[in-house]
Amino acid sequence: MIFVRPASIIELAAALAEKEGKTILAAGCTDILPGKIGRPWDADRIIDLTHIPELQQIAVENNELFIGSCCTHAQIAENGLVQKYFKALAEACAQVGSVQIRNRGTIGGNVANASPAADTMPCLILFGAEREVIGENGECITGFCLPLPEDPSADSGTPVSAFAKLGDRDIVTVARIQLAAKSVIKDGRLSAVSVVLGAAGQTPYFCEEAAQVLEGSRAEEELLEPFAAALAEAIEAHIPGRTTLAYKRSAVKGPAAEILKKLSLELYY
Amino acid sequence: MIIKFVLNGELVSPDLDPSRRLIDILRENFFLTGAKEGCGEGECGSCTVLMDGLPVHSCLVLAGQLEGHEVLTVEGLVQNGELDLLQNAFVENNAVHCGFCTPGMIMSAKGLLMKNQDPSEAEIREALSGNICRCSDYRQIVMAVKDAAKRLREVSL
Repeated sequence: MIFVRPASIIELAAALAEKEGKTILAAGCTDILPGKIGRPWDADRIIDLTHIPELQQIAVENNELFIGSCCTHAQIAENGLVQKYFKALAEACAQVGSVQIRNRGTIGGNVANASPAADTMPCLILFGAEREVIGENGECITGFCLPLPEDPSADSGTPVSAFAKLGDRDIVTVARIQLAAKSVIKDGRLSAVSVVLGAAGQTPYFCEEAAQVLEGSRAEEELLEPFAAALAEAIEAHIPGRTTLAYKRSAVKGPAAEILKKLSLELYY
Repeated sequence: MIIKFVLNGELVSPDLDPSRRLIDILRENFFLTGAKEGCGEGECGSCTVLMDGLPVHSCLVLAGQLEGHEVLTVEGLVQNGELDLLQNAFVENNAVHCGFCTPGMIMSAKGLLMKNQDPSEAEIREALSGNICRCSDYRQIVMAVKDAAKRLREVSL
């Protein structure tokens, strides 16, 4: 087994360009090491991504927030820029696994592992994040660029967002349903609402009908029934006939209520 | 591969297979058997150690990733033959039954108290939520951490 530990993006690019047989890209290892006890590696080479400072940066660049692929969930959850501009993503990262998993697991690994229940995915889609990659076939994610919302003003309004997750237990849980929403508060009402459903299909998806229910509203409690109904319809369209459909159709009301509550708090405070 | 890192306050540079796991290195190369392997997949927390002051699963860290980092195990809490204040709090609050989860519980609690000397019960439970006790000893464990935090604040005054 060859173990390569690049210390910069340039060294990483050089390592990726070398053809050394089957290669594993290792970051937090929270998905590649489970179940590895005593089993040989099914690879010829490991490239460790954890010693590359550029991949651990969170910084504003050209009206975008760059989040390096090796930023951990804990780092993202605690970052002031993420909390300020992309609160839903900070909330999602704060709910991934346990403290130990959040201290090691990375946003790049969360996306690369491609679990339908990946907690960061609905938020990255909601915020229109673009992935940066390197390698001949783009095989290594180096980071994500999230377009910054406009500065709050009377014309543009105040951007807000929220994330809710339903699992089998309150914490340290795999998502059964995720809901992420963003909006702009204008004249005391929600405007330009977007809603993304996750863990309710192979990949997360926008739910226009549910967003329309909230558009122009003050996130009033009475909207819960039509909001949850629109989400249930979207789930049915994405997983018709699946055994979990009946559960998810009904259970989506929980995250829907949480999102309404969070948005209404943003409106009033 | 020679890997230089700090283990329990001492700089070490063993020649290791970088694709091995930290828990195996600790137990088999350094004979530090405090960290236990429960599930081997980051679910039970019994292998928790601190890496640069943060709780991590030692079953999910590759030896090759240790270069330049600092690892603290439950053995490293003992200073001059004296147990750490947190270890004493576990003993005095009967927070140890079979003891399998204890080193991991203590290291998760240590990570919390290094950041927050006055945690609420909710913060303690959140910090320990990745550690499973098969004896269901949680009440005494939470009491031990509260007690340790109180003693830590008194010492810091």
